[in-house]
Amino acid sequence: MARSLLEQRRLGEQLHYEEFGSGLRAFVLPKRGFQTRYATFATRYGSNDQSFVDSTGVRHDTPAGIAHFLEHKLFEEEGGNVSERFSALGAMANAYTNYTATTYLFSTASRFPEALQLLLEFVQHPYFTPQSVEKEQGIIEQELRMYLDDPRVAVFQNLMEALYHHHPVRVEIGGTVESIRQITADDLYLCYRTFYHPSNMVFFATGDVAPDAVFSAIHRLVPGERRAPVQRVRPAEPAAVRTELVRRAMPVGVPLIDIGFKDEPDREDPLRREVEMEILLDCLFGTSSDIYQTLYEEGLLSEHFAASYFSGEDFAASVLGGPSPDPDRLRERILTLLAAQREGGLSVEAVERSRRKSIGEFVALFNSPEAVAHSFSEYALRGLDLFAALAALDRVRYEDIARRFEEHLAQPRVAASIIVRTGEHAQ
Amino acid sequence: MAFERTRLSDGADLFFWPTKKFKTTTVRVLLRQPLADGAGEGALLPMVVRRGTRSLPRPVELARALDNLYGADLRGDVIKLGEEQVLIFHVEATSGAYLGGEDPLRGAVDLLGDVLFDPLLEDGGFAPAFVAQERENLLRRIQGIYSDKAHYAQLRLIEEMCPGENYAIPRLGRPEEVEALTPVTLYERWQRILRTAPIAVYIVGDLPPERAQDEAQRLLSRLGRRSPARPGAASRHEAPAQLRRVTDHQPVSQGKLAFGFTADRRADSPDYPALVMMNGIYGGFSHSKLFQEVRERHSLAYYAYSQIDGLKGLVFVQSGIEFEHRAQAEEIILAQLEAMRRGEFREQEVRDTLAGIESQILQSADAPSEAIMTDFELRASGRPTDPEARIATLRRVDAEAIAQAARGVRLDTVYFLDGQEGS
Repeated sequence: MARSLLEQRRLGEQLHYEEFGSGLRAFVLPKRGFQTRYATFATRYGSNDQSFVDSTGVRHDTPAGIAHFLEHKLFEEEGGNVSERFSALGAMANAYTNYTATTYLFSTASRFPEALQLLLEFVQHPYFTPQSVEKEQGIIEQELRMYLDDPRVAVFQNLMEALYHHHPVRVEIGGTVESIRQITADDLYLCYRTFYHPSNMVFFATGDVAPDAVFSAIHRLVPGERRAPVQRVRPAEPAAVRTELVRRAMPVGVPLIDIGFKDEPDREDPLRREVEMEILLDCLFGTSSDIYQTLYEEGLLSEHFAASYFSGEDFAASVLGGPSPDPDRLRERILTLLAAQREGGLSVEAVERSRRKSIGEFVALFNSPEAVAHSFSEYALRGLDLFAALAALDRVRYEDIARRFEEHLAQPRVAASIIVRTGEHAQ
Repeated sequence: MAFERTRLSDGADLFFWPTKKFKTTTVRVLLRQPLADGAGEGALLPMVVRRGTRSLPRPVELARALDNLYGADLRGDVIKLGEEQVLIFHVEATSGAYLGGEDPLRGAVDLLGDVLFDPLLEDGGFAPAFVAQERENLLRRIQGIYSDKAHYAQLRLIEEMCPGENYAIPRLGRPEEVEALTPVTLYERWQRILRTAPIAVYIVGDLPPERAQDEAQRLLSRLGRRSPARPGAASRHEAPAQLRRVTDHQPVSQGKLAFGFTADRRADSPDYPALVMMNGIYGGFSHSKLFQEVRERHSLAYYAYSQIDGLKGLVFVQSGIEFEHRAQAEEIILAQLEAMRRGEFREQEVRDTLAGIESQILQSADAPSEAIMTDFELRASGRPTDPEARIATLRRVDAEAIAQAARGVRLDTVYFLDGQEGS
């Protein structure tokens, strides 16, 4: 049992860490003065993990949306739903699934120890029956239909399908109405046994909490022996994009566009890569950039335009976009202005400005216990340390950002996804 | 959380909460206006003044000045509060303590002051180029609501439920009005707002009180002579003689079923806490009747909730459902209200609701913007702001009072966003 204290003097934070015999890694970040006590219990299992090899060497290909379905069903217990027991404690429980992780959480202003025990217990106690699986299909179907009507979801989903040939990041996190109908209670148990082992999980708590009490609750309630990592099956993904442009019509008020630049993931130092990319994208497309200001004045984008680096262990892309009255023109202009920017190069001042902005924003993240818990936990599941981002920001040099510009955006493997209004040049 | 109030000038007050909890200092200026005075102008103003000032006339200069202050966040927006529109100007700067001693706050407050009192002008109005651009952006934001079907359904419900009432004026105004304004009329409106609107300056952060006072005084030092108006209460909603039913059709995958009810009390009533408890048991939480019946028991929806507008005295319900489940969902949703009226809820439901609302009240002090808006809205509706006092009034509500509040809730309008006919 390894216990340590990571002091972040500069941030005025102390992070307590312990790795248990079960392989579970747990972090506690005490924040005095906050009413919200917040805990997350997350597993490195997301929609990307549809195909895997079990401990006996057998390969399984499961239906799309199963990680998300399992997240819903874990709340079910014999004779009820565990949410109600959180409610009775004045706590709110929730969960979410993304491409790489499933996270269970609660927040409460009172009775933290009871809620903590409940969280640790329910995530370790699956209870699925054919009837309860069928019942959940109706609920999830409505959740999926809600997203189907959301053009922001559609524009991003279509971009993923355009960027990727085979990588599972091109599949909807929640699956489809058809794929979730194939899910059985046995499938859920199989995935549960494969991915919900403490060795594959991370716990994080923050707020006015005592680290010792949290660690001893985990010690008591999360037994088990360390286990070898799960073998995840990933098809080989070509470097090129699959389609350059996808266009769809929806009943929207204003058209939308997302543009993606496909990148090779950095397996050596992914944290540094992310820090550098956030700075590069801010220099190129942030509110202080020439490109943003030019396109704003041309009326092609609004304050809702955003650029960010979308990446995980084995996928990476820069994604930029937002609502635009003329997405085709915006796409063309972005590519032209980007080429011109390459000729002119980035200014040293722009890089320094973006670096300062990133530092300020990183510090501000610690205002929010929820935001810290989610970011920290996501990084920890990948074996990365969120705190190290601050040191990486300090080390950023102009040459690194300029090099990234050349490597990533100079030979753009670029795709665009456009949503137009129903009835307007639909194809 | 306790905001200390200090008078700054006529109708302008500082509300300061000194706290070491956050790593930023937040300064927020809130200006109250009747929605009826031109909501489109009100919505456009924060967008236009944010573009450029006399000393930083090019938008890129203002953006760079903020980024150099470690990414100080300067924004403007509007919210709807009953039949008022509140113009919000917000600046948030990371505390110098975490930046090796450099303190961006003063610079950030100066930029906010320039935005408010020294915007870029031309020929007695705002810079026409800024007005033209932001007018287009605002029109697009208004059109964009159509893309968010839950939001759109709620807006359509209110439009159909409250025709002719100021309450039906949308937060961002109406396109006709936005199209008609000019740089000069818009600037005149801005001058009028600065002269007459009640102003609240909120500051949250780790500052000594003198420093907060000093920043607020400096921020408003260019505010001229004022004749502040007194905000009036929202008008009473006129219930229709018979139930209104409205259906729209769009090529969507999911129907949105939305209900508007009138309540017999508003936020300033001593009986209001009973309505808050009733709403919580009915549809405020995942343990509530709507969630339990519509989602968990009948698998009809992913979401089903209720909410109150306390300033106007209305209750709203919404759920996203399969088109053909409309009648069944409506029956279940209304049956839950009937059950509430008959007092059919368990001790446990009351206790869970109370615990949930208590948590919400306490947790609102954990984010600067939320703490500010909670305090502001409570004051605007004449309710106590102290969390413990609020919790105490809710604890005193008994089951009969909750059932009585439910009996005062009457269905007024049902809106349904249906799929395309024939598809």
